[in-house]
Amino acid sequence: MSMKSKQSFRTSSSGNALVMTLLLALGLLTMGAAFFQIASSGERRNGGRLDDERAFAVAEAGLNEAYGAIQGGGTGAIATAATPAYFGGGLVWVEATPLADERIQLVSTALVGSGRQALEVVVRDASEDDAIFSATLNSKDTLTMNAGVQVDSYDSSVGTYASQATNVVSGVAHANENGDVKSNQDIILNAGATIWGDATPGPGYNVSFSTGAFVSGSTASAQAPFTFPPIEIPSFPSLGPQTIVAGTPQTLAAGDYDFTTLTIEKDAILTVQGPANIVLDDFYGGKNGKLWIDATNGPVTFYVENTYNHTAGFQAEAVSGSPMAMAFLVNGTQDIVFPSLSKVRGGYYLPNANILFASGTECWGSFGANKIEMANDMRFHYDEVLAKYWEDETGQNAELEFFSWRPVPIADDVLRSDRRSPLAVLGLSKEDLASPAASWGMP
Amino acid sequence: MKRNPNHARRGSTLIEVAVASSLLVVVGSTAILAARSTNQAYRTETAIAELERVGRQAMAEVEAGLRAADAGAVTPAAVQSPFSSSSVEFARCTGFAGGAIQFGPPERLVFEQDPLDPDDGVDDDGDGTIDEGRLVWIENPGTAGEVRRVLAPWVAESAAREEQGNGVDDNGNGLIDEGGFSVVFEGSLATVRLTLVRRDQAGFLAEHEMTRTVGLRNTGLGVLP
Repeated sequence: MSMKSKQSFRTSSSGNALVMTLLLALGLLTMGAAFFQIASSGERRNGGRLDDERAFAVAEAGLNEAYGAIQGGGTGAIATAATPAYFGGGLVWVEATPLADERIQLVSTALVGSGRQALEVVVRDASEDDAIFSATLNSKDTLTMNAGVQVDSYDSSVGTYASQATNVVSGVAHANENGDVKSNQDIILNAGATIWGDATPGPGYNVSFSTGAFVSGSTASAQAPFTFPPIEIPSFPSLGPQTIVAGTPQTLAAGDYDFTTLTIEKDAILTVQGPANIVLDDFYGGKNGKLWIDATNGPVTFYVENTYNHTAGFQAEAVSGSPMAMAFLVNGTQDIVFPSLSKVRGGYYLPNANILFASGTECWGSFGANKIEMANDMRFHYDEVLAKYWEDETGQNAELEFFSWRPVPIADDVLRSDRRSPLAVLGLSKEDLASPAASWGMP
Repeated sequence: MKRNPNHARRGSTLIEVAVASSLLVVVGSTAILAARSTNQAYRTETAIAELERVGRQAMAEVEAGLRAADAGAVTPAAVQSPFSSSSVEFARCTGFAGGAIQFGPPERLVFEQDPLDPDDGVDDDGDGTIDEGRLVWIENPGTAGEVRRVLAPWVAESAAREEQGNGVDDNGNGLIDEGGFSVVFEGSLATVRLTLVRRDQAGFLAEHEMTRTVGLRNTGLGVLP
């Protein structure tokens, strides 16, 4: 009896240990499951956010591919919604819709993991646009280079023209060979005219040479005539006329101005601090008057609605900052005459008028006009900084022009709501998909 | 061969009990200390993780909003380092129509004082932080159609390691006296800083600081930033 009782006690004790062990194990399991749940939900949240960021990056990559496609002659479309491109561990396609004025609307859609992103931009291919300061001389009409005229280039960021004009040919020094000239018609080189750069006539037109004339670069015709973009004159409150008189030098601080007329009288001095935009109806520079440009902090642009005049001895140039940070954009139809012995630095753009250079004039910069005429033996020096400077400051010459950017909702309801792997959602295999670069839509 | 049952059931000696008790005390104390330390670390990590979660979510919305903004009409656009603004007003692109970019109504991101903890240098709401505020997104600010949304609570009055009002860049980030939410512009790039701070029930003060630089894509210059 005693033995039976002891045995029964042992059996009961063993059972308690088992129950306790099981309870302990269950407790640990429950805690482990809870921690796992918490950790995995956090992981899911982080993973979802990461996927959204990756989808954004892939959508941007899709847009970049579309930009390249447009510049490469494509429509801008990349792959399709039915057959997307595989990139960055996800799927991407870009739809391109032509808009008015050669603009293109691009919508890039990217699906990466559970991430979804669609971005819309409106762009225009500006690579065919003609930069207003891309050559020394840009003449819509026939461009006649008179006898003895020389055109070359230099880089004002490196040093003075004199320090770079170390190449002597036939006793005449020149600097670099980027002094291009362009015309939409013929280019006529009279005796001894020399161009250290390209001479590009219009489509179907030619370059003709007289005795001793020389072009160091190409003389091939342009594929298409260049066009001068219209001058977009900004609008500021009018401040009336402004006259600078001799003996009282004046300084115009950086900013935006609108004067009906700006007159720099004989021997007067006006300093303009950049950045500045100055809108004028008319401009007049008197004899030996001086227009100094302080371009330390930015360029100075004059928008002249009607007439530009300056007399002999007038000087206009940047005295600090980029020497070419001055431009006159003249909208009027009255010709500009640069009198004898003028020294001109900067960019002059007259899409509706002509420029006449009198004898003895030496010019540093770039000139675009309906027609350009010149005296014998003139010297033109194109500043290689000029094109780059205006490109950087104004965005001109950009390959693509951007108008708008925004995120847009994913158009497809299923793609928007089904956050499984995009390959699973679309029933695709990545082996069957091409890269974005191999998926350009062509016209 | 039979085991003597009396031998198996022999009681423990006093020394054995004393040693066992001592070991139990040592092991138990160590376990309690470890548990407390682990618990504190867990609370710390949890508090910081929560701030980070809230901050990242808010910053993602700020980034998305500013990216689509009109870079030419951001207010105040002139705020540049070493100064900063605790609010920014902008309009987001809503499309392109009629040859022109379209923008939506004005919107504002702004630091606002917590209504329960006004800017008086005192912890009015007793939450362990002084003069904290919140980051608020306001659509159509100041109009009848104004809509307000709190992007992030627990925004510190001052940026991390920055003392306001002394005219000094205390934390060496190039800004003077910046607040817990600050925006600085450099051209069409906006640098946004957010500092969140929160004290838990055990008195632990968690602080989290984050910085994002955003390119405002609608520059109006024909080029991307």
